[in-house]
Amino acid sequence: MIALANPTRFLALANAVLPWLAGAAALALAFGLYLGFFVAPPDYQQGETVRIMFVHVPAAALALGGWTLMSIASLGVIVWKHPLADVAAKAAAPIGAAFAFITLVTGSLWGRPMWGTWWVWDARLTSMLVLFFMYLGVMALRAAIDEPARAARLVAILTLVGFVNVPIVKFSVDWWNTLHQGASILRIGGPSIHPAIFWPLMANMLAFGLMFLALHLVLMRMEIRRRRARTLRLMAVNA
Amino acid sequence: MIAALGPHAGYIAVSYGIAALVLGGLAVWALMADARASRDVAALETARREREGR
Repeated sequence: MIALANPTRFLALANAVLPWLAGAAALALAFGLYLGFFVAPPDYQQGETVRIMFVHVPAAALALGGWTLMSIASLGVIVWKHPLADVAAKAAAPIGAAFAFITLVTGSLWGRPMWGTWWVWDARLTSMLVLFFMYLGVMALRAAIDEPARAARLVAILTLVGFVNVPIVKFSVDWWNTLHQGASILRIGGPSIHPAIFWPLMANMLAFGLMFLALHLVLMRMEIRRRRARTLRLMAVNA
Repeated sequence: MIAALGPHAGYIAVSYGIAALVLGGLAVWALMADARASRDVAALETARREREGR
C-alpha cells in the first residue's frame, strides 16, 4: 500500500487494472440485471415493483460507502498527510452524490405505488437527502477555495464531521418510527429477504460496487493528471 | 417486455432509466475529463522539454 502512495506508481497500476475492472463491472451488471428481471420472482406483496430494489438498495449502500471512503481518506489527509488521500476523497464525491441522487429518485418512484406518496419527511428519507446535500456541500466548498492544500484540509474536516450522518442513515429505521421499511440485509438474525430475491440483489450489489471502483479509479487518475498539469503550468510561469 | 412488469411498469422503467442516465453520464464525463487532462499533461511535458532544450 505504501508503494502506491507514489502517484506515478498509482497511475501505472490504475492503467493496468482499469480495463479489467470495467469489463468485470459490465459483465457483473449484465448478470445482475438478468437475475433481477428474469430469475427473481415478483414479491408476494409488492409484485413487480420489487425490481426497483435491485438498483435502489445498491445505490443506497454505495452512497453511504462513498462517504465512508471519503472519511477514511480525510483521516489520511489530516493525520497521515498521505499524498493520494485527498485525490481519493475528491474523486469519490461526485460518484457518491450520483448514487445518493439515484437512491432518492428510485426510492420516490418505488414509494409512489407502494406507499401512495412520492415523499415523506421520515428519518430515513430525510437523512439520505441530507447526505446528498452534504456531497454537494463538500464539492462546492472545494470549488470555492483556490489554494488546494487549504481546500483539502477544510473539506477533510467537513467530511469527518459529516460522517456522523452515516450511522444516522443506517439506523434511522431502528431509532425512529419510519414509513421506510426496517433493515432487511445487515440485521441481527441475518437477512430477512427470501433467497430468490436476496441473491439477485447481492449480484447487483457486486455489479454496482465494481462500477463505483472503476469510476473512482478513472476520477483519481484524472485528478492526478490535473494536479500534474497544474504543477507544470506553475513551472512554466516561474521559468 | 415492459408490459410484462405489470401495472407499475412505468415506475420500474423510469427507475432504471434514470440510474442508467446518471451513471452513464458520469462515466462519459469522467472519461472525457480524464482524456483532456492526459492531453494537457502531454502538451505541457512537451513544452517543458522544448524549454529545457531537450
